[in-house]
Amino acid sequence: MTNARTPSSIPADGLPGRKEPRFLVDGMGVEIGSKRYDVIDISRSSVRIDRSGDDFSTGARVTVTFVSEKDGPATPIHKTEAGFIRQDAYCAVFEYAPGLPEWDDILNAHKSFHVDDLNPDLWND
Amino acid sequence: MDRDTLKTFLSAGPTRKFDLGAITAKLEEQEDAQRLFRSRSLNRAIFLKYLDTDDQGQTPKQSPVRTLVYLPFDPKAPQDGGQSFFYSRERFTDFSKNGKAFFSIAQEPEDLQRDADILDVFTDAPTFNPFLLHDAFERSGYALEPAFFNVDPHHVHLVKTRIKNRIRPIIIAALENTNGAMDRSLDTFAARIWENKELDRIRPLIKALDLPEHEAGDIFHSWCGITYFEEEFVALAPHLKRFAVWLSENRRPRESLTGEAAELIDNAASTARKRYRATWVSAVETLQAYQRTFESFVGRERNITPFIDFMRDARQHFWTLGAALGRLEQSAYAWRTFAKGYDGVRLPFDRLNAFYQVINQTQ
Repeated sequence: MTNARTPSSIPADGLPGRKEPRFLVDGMGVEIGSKRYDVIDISRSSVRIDRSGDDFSTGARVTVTFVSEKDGPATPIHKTEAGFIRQDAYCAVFEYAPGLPEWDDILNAHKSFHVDDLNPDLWND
Repeated sequence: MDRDTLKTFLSAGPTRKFDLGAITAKLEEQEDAQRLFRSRSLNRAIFLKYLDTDDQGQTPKQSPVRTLVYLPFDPKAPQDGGQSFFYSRERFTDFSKNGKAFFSIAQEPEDLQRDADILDVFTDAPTFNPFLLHDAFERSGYALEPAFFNVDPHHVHLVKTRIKNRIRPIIIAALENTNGAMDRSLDTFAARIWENKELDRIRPLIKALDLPEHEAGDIFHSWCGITYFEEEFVALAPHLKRFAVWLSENRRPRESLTGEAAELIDNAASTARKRYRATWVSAVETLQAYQRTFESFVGRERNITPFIDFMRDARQHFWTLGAALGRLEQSAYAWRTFAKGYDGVRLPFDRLNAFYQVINQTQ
């Protein structure tokens, strides 16, 4: 594992696929088949996407490609297998195996909140 | 406004200054170039965000920033003087009558009405950050050429994406116990909030967040603005850190001072440091409260009350953060101007004193 600082996270809520803290990220999406979906939040082993009205089948296994749009057009950053867990009105949740030692660093680089980076004591002598 | 202060304001960054005159001059090189205002002189104006402070440097909480319309007598030399007014509809009406001796101001009611509508857009946000101004004009329905705004389309895309990313978990958390799936796509739903349009179609969300319906549009707009400012503060932090270190190490002039002169400089330095520290700490605390209440709501706790409280004060947070950002950015610009050519050495007394006067007047 790396020494990356853990991104600001939302505590796990105990639902299936949400056993770990989830991270709000910016500039990250997934491609499933030929379609791109926005990531709502992500943990180290599950990802929730805006399913945009698409339906997924229970137990389905898919290939997901994580893409980054942080520095320009969407660039693939990781391709892996994922299993569909559930869906609701707007979202679908998949579990996946990150399989990358630098995955924490990647999540950290895409974290949405940066308030932790601000030092309140900037103006202290 | 004296000349030094005017000069500093005119050299301000994009947060506090919108130099329409410079843009108009550039556009005039093209045929059939668009004009923003029907009053010719307004197209030569420089718009400035001006902090409304009392003697203690405190700002009123609800509207800490006013918009100053500055019309230079000579658009090619704005620093040589001009006339200005703090914008309000009434003051603009007065100016249209009294200023016509020096300036070309439209006189037809329809033209004046249109110019006032556009001036309203300039006052719609606490700063002139290009993204916010671009967004304000987009919302207002005035289609302006890209030349009016120095915005990078990719940056606009990233900012909008980040704001939508903040909106979506709130929609999910707020509506999970209701039958509130109104739009097929979460993205469409989030866009309604971002664009502040057709809010009647997201009434269940407004209800779930316990927001006053007639204020919902303003609250959502302010919330998006707060999310935007968060990134701006993060970007400004390294510059401010350098300024803070400089102020700490170089708060005294190169000359050896005693008596009244030493006291004058020490007091000015102390005032600046105290005010900047208070501004910075207050802004960081607001942003921390935003993150804390947001995560408490969308996380396991599903604790909606603190987030609702934060949202109800969103307009105040938005304007206060904007005022703070303008104040801090202005200080960094003034520092850059006064310290230019003095790298690594202390400023002479006169220059340092003038610097303190400017930053303590304009913060």
